[in-house]
Amino acid sequence: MAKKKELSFEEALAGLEEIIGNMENGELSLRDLMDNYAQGVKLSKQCMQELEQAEKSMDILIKEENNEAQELELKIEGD
Amino acid sequence: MAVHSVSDVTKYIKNMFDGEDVLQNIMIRGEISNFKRYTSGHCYFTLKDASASLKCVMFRSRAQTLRFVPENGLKVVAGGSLSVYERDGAYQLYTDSIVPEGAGELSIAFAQLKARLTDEGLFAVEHKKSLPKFPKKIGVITSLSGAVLRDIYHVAKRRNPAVQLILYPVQVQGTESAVQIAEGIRFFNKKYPVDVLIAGRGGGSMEDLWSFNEEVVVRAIYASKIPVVSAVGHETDFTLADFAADVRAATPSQAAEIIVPDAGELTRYMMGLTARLETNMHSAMHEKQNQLVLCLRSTAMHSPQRLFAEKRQRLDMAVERLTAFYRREVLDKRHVLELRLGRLETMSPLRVLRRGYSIVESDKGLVKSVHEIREGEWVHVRLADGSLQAVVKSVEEGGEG
Repeated sequence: MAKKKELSFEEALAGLEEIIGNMENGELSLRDLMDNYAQGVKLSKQCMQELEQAEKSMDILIKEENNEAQELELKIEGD
Repeated sequence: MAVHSVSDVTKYIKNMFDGEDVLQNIMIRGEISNFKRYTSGHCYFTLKDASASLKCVMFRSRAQTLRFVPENGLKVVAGGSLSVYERDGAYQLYTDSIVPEGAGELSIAFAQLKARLTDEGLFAVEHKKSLPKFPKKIGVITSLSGAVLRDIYHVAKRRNPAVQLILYPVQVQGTESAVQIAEGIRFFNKKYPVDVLIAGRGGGSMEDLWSFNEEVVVRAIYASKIPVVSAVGHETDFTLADFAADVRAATPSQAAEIIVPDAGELTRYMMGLTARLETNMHSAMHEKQNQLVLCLRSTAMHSPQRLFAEKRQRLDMAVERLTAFYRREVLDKRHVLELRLGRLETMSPLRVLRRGYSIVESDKGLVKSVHEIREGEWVHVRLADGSLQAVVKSVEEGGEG
């Protein structure tokens, strides 16, 4: 089986929206219904996970010298 | 001396004008007077300075592109070509552009560069990329100091605390600025992938914002694979970077608002979608179940014997009728038949024989007349309890019969 590429949030969301549309519009067979639902649950979980898991990460200040980029912590004045 | 027609001379003069390159693409500074816009959309006016005046015409197609309304007394730089209007024998400027002179050379440069890059397709709508729905990393190209970074930071973090900002600090004005901004855009594209870029600065004069009109910046934005949101100056400031960007934000704060979806809102949206998924599944299953139940409840599935009941009933009735018919018809007839048989019995020759009569048969059959038999023939005489073979001795006609 071909290895599935990790879907981006946008792709997963679009997929979920499409599935919901299918379920609402189409006369799906029971099997398609189950498949769609299973896929929808998977995508929905992925999206929710991404939303919840988005950890706070440090903001970065790029310092580029002689074509060498350094990452420093970005501090906002007054914060 | 040769004599020429007015037309010939005028044509000659017109050709002189048209052959002069300098006059074909010229910028002329002056003050607008006698400005008139005809209902056709064409504009006619005079450019003048202290000591001279020049007739000008701007056709509708060009006049439509004006971002301001030319007024009498306005000092402008008009661009176009000089030629002769033969009917009036007057030379005039066929105007392509009018730039208010207050803004000076920059405005002209702006207009020229804009026209050139527009022709090249750098601002084409088809080229614009859509923004990611849920960006996690946002590259910011602006000054480290200044309100812009702060505004973007605060708005972005308020909407989604998890969003990460990566600042590529640049000078946002001055001679180095444009190259740095362009380099920043390339840096993110080549070395530091992010979901979306903001390039911007705060408000200022046209001079201050000028880096964002420079060709290197416009081209870098156009070439960027990462979507770029421009956020330059205030609502009313338009730079060429804005035209090239995938989305133009009126202010840096607005850029952050456009880019960063409200996490709470997004979560609610996702929960709504998930709920819809469940509801859809539930109702679809319910429907299928109903269909199944309906099937099961149908007579055929529920009590198949009922399907036959009617037929069986019909069969019963048929049998019943048949029986009745049998009784009525067959039995009755048998009765009649028996009666008749009884009668027949009474007429049976055997009964007659038992009473002493006999039956005479020859080899031709029953002998009922003396004419059917002759003397000497054999006859067969049947009696009640047997038969005789006899020879006829004589035949006599008559008798008691």
